[in-house]
Amino acid sequence: MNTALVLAGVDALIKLSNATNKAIKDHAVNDDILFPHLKDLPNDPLGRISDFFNEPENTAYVSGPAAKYAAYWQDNDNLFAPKTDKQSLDTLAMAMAEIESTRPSVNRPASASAGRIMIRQWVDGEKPLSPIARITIAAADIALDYVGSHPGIIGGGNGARLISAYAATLASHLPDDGNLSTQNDFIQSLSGILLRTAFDTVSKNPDWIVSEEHFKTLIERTIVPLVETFPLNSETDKVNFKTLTDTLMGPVTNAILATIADNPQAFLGSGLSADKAIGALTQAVFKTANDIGLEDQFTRDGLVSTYKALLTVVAEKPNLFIESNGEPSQTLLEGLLTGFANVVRQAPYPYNGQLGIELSKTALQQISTNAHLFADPNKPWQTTAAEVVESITTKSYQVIVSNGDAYDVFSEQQLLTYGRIVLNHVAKSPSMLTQTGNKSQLGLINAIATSMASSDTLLLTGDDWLSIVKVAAAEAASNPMRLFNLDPQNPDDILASQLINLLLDVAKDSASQQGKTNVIFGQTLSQAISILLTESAGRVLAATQAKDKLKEALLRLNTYLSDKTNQYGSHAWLALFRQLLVKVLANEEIPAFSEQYLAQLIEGANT
Amino acid sequence: MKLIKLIITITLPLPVLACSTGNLHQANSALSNSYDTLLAQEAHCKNTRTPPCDLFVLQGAKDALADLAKDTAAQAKKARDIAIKIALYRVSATAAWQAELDNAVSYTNEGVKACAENFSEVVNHCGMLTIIPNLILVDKITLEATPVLEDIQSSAGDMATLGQQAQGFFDAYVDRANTTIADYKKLKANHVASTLLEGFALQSATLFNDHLGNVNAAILRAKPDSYQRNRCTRYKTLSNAEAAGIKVKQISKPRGCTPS
Repeated sequence: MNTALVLAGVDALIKLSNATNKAIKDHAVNDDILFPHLKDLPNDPLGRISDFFNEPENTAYVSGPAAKYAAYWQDNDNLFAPKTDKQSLDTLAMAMAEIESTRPSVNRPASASAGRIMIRQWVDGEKPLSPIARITIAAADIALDYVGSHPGIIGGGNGARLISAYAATLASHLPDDGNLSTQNDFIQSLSGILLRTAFDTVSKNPDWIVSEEHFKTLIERTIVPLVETFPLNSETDKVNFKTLTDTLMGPVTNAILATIADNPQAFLGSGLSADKAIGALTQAVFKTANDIGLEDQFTRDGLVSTYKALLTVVAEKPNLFIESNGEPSQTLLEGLLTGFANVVRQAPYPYNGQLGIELSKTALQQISTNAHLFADPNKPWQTTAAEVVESITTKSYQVIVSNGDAYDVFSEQQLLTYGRIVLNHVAKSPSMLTQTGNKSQLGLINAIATSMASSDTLLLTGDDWLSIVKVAAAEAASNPMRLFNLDPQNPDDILASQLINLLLDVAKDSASQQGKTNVIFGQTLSQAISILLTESAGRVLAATQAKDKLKEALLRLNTYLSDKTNQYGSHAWLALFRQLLVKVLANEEIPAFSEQYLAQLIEGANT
Repeated sequence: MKLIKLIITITLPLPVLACSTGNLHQANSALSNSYDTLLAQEAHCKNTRTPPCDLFVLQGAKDALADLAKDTAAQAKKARDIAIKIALYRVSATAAWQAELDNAVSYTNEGVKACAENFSEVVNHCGMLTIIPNLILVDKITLEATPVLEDIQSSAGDMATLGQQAQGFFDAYVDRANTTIADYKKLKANHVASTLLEGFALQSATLFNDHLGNVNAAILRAKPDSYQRNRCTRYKTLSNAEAAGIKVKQISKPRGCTPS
């Protein structure tokens, strides 16, 4: 097929309004018409038995002196019909079957129709549209939606290249006689969706230069294998595939074209890796959707969202998904989509919705960026990414179980920020992860979760916790084996957690002793925890040995300050804390508190 | 100046028409999808008496069709092109029929009016709009008759009363069958596509071949004195259908029937 001819046809259709009007209108109005079937009544075998023995050739079985089944039949002036008791009906049904079986089979008119009929409207004697007419009209139909607001979209520009690519690809897949198979129908309609989205993208991104060759490849690699992969043999297959494509094709084509428009250089280069990976990824998203089902909205959103995130990764690093033989790894892509969809689906509230989807996206983007750092032959990077998200959601759930009030402290945005902080650091420093069994665990997450589970919700706000998480994550990333070293046998017993809890206990004690005048809460407490983690990270052994001593000193300080609350505000308390920490870590003894000693400490802090 | 006028005249209707055809494509597609969902769920609920037959999903499919009926009727009202307008009314009427709306027949009124002067231009859509009201009424009878026939088959209730009701359904079906024959003749006279005529005959077979026989079988159980007369009526109706060109089940002329 000459694609220039199609292009000229489309152009002509658009320019010649009368012809266009008629062609487009005819195309729409002459679409197949759905003719539903009538509803069925409960079937009564009595009717069929009666009809059978009323046939002249069968009446002798039920009527007359030699009638074998007369006992089961009513024959009087007003009625010639079967008796309606069960025994009579059973006997007559058996007799009917026996008699029928001795006779040659005859074609009987179909009984109740099983379902819908599609009425084809082609006038008698006329053949279906030729492929070129079909493609031209379909392309013009799509182009018309854009030509009004973007008059130059066809004339030699991006629109022309898109139509040429569309026509060339379809021409090689549609039969010349115009009698389309189900597969042909799907290829045409799904390619049309891609063409429509491409027009939409071009109209929004007029600077984008479309490559005809590339758009052809895109249809060949996404639509064609998709239609060829799914079984379309039965009506159920077709309905399932249509439902699937109706649900996903719009968001999928939008995501593909948006990614290409945003990353043109990735798709215009000499290599075909990105195109191959996009094709394979698109197969994977449909296959995964088919496997897991899309009834649940969050599963659907999660899958599309993961697909979009992966498209960005494909644009940036297509080779991550290409195997040594140059072909894309279908297994890897399907595993990724299924893995993340399952993590979100099975996550506890509030991670089983948009929050889980956003976290998964972040994990994918962050960890794939540093995929080389996660080069573990036993565990690919994508598995680790899903496990980190799972770890965050599971541990957070444990916090809710043990401290129901903890989640009142956090908004969903804060929980997302928490996850993002952790993921950013993990991506740069995979050594933060510890393998427990087959799962990757993070000492950082366990430490924070353990502390959150035991914290008094009045002491720290969500933002305060985020400040602590930032410091803790930075420390964990720099020195994962120090404060956040995780013992697989006892994964929640982590030094960082012990230190945070130490200060939380001190703060609780202060609150109980000083009531409203307590200063160890909020920013002051979060700063103190940050100081403690930072100072302890460089001196883990000293911190381990001194933590009880520090706690004892701080509790004593609480008692000493209980009747002097007007003299020591948060600034002064932080200065005292810092000085006491330095001394305890240096293994100095802390004497009984006095005005003079405290003044000395504060002065020391100021110098 | 003339050239500018000409350009405006040519290009102005393009987006408008494109929009309408797009609506029609979408409406056709939505009708087809919702109907498939409805059929699948009905079949599922018929075959599985226990969960997971989800009546909620079944109702959801009907609700979607009801929405489609309303939306498409509104689009049809606005459409300027008469063919598209009528085609949209046809979609709306079909959706209302399948949604089992109480006022489903009223969804055909506007379309039928529009067809009055344009039948030959949009012959197949007008053909559908002509026959849908009668098919809606057939399905209404079926919905009402189903529990009565189930009661008769399981001998639950007063058989005399049930038999009386079944006779009412039989008479109503005969009326609908006669209208179906008249509609078939009307479509033929208006030269609708042969595929539509064949489809109409095939779908109407449920009424001729099954409904009349099944209701009369129930009458034989509950009110046998009417059975023989009904067989005659059924025979005549089927003969009339056959004479009109509708392929139906052949039954022998029952005893005692006056010549048709």
